[in-house]
Amino acid sequence: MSNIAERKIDEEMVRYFVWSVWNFFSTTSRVEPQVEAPYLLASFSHNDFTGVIGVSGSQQGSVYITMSRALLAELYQDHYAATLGAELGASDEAELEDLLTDLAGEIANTISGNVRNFLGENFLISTPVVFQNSGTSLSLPPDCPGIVLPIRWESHTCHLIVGLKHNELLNL
Amino acid sequence: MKLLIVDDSAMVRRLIEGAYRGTVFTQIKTAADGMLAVTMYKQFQPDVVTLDITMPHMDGLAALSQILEHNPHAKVLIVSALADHHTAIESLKRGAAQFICKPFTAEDLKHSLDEVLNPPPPRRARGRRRRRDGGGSGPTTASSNPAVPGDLGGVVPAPEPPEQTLDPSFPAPPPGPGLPFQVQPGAQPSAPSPAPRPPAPQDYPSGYVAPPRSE
Repeated sequence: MSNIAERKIDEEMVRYFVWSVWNFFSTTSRVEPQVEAPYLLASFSHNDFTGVIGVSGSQQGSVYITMSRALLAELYQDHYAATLGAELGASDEAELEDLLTDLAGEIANTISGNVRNFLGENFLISTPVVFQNSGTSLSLPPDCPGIVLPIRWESHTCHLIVGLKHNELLNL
Repeated sequence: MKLLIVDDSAMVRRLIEGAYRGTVFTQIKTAADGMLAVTMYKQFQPDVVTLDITMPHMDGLAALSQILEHNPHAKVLIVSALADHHTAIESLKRGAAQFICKPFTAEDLKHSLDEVLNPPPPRRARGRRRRRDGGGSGPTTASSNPAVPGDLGGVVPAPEPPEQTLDPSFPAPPPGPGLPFQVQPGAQPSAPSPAPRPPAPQDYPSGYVAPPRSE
């Protein structure tokens, strides 16, 4: 097993992700999040909803954003709709669940897409996948450094986990 | 007027539809992927299309090409989180009228749709980047250069691809909102407390649960 302290983290890339997270919450809710000190991933558990984006090209790996149902519901109902002046009420619990799942994917997609805007077309991202696995552990391949960014927004905390490594085969 | 909203996110479709229902757009339809968008475009003949890029089955760029093949004067607003040089330039070269980057505000969307419906007089296209308060980089918007505004039924020369529409050098992200930037090796997160939750639905209309089928 590799020494976690020796894993190389591209701080410039983490910076892009931090900015992208900040930009997403600030724009959609007009409430700035606090991005707290990032740290290397050792072990982690999923929250209620996790949006995953696969990354290939110049970097390989995945980007996860895991958050609570309460955060998503508040972002969706109290902020997103109001910001755009749209009516977004869900008719029942099942519909709300679908929309929250959708929002988790959209957050992951937007954050990763915005990072690509800085890193260029060789940073390839997949369409998002969302799963609900609250409490289960999240692990990355041993050779893939992971970094956790805690994000405080309103009274909630969610986590962005960036698990990427440079693709030396492509040397991009 | 008719509006077709194309996005694989049900929430975004609902968001734009909710914001524009009861406005100048009296008929609004939605599609969840590029393939469906092309089919619906041919049947619905919308005046404006909002089109995402990253979608399953057929992405937005391919759908854009097929829509413009069917109607070279189609008015398409690209709404995407991807605004890198290649993607933005490529979509405008293919004939998109406008480009707006997610996340966006109501003002951003309205401004872009206004420009699609009422394009500025013909002139050399220019890129533009707007900054929001706080120094953050706002959404990238750009437009191609439609030669003649408006009437879909008239004889309108096809727009020429712009030579340059966006600043090719994307800026580094701003210093950020007071980022405490020290990586702490081995620090342990406080694991989120598991809460009781209802059983997960078997399928979601958004298409986010299952990865796209390979065809």
